[in-house]
Amino acid sequence: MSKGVLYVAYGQQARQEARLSAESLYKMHPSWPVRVISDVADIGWAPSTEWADLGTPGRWAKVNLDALSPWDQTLFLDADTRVYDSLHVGFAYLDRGWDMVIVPSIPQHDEMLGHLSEAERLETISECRIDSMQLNTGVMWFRRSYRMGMLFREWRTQWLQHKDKDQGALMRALERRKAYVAILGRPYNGGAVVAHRFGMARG
Amino acid sequence: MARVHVKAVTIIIAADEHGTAKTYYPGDWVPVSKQRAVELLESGQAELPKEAQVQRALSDDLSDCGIYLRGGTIHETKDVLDGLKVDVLEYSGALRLPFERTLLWRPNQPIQRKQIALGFARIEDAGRYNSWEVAAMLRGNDMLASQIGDQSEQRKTIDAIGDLRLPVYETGAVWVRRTNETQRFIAAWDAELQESNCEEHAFLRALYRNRVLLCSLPAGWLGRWRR
Repeated sequence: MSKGVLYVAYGQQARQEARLSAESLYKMHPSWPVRVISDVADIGWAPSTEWADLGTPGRWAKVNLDALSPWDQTLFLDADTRVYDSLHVGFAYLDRGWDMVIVPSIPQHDEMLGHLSEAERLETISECRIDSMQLNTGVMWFRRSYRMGMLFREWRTQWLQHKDKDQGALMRALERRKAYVAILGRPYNGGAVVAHRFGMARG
Repeated sequence: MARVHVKAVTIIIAADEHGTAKTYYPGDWVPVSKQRAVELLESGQAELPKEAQVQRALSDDLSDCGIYLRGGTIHETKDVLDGLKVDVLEYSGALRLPFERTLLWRPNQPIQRKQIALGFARIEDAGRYNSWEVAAMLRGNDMLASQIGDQSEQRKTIDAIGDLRLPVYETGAVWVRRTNETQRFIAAWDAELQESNCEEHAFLRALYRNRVLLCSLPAGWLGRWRR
C-alpha cells in the first residue's frame, strides 16, 4: 500500500511555508514521499504538480486531492503546519479500513462556520443535521476507496456552489455521502503533534 | 438593531439589510429584528431549522427503534421516555442490538426526549451510501484518552492503537443501527468491557479495530450533558 504526503501551495509565501512544514515532517518521517500541488510546474525542493487554481486560492486543489494524489493512502497537510511528533496513527486507522482521519475544528455549535460568507453559512446550517460537527481539513489522512471517491466528488460539487472555503462544503458533502471517518484529538491539528500557524501561507 | 435570520415558510415582506422592503419566498433566509422573529415564528410564517428538525424527529416513525438500558430499570426511566413510542429493554448481561435502531443508554447519563429522537434520526437508513450506522458524542472537545483511565487501561490502548491522543466519546448514550459491521463492533466493545475497567478506553479500542460509519457529534450536543 503506497503512502505519501501532499501539500497545496499557491504563491511564493505558501510555497515557502510548505517547505518549512516539509522540513519539520522529514525530521519525524524522513522516508515519506512528499508532493506539492502548486501554481508552478517545478518548485525546486520537492516533486510538484501544476494545477490550475479556481476560486479562493488552494481550495479547488484541496477538493481534488483524491485525483491529485499518486498514492493509495495520503496525508494532506496545510502549508502552514509544523510537525513535532509521529503521524503514524492516521495511517494505522486507514490500514484498518477507515476512509478518512481528521480532527474537529475548534468552533462548534453556534460558533461554527464563522469564516464562511453569511449566505454559505446559513445554507450549510439549513442543510445539515442539527449541530453537525465541523471538521478542520488542514490535517487529514484519506485512502482510495469507493466511498472516499464518492465523498470527494460530492465535496467538489458542494464547493463549486460558492467557490470559497472548503469546510462548509465538506459538511454538506457528508450530509449526502457517508464514509468511514475517524476522529483524532486536537494535538494533531493545532497542538503538540501538528502546530498550525493559521493564515501564514496566505500571500 | 440586532438582527437574526429566520427561514421563511410563507411569503414574507420585510426590510432587507438596507431598509428596503423586499419580498422573501418560502425557503429564503429573512433578516429581521428579534421581536419580528418571535412574531413570525409564533404565527408559523417562519421557522428556525434547528427547531424544525427537532419537531420532525419527535414525530418520526420510531417503530424500529428501542432503548437498551445499561443499568437501571424501565420504571426509573418512565418520566424521561413519556410520550416517546419506543420499546425499552433492560440489560441482560451483554451488550447487544435488540432493535433495528438501538440506543445503548446508561440512565445515569441525563438525556431528553428530543435528544433520543434526534439520535435515532441520525442513524436512520437513508440508503447504502447516505446513512450513518453509529452516532456518539464527544465527552469534551479537548478531552483525550491520555486523561482518563488508569495505567493498565492506557497501556492496553497504546498497545492496540499506538496513541492516546484520541478524543473520548460519551459512551453513556450511543445510537446504533443494526448491520453486520455494527454487530461486530458491539461484540468487540462487549468483549473489551469484560476485561476492562474503563468503558471509554474499551470503546476506542473496539472502534479502531472495527470500522463503522460513525457520526461523531461535538461535545455539548444539544446542550449540556452531565454525568
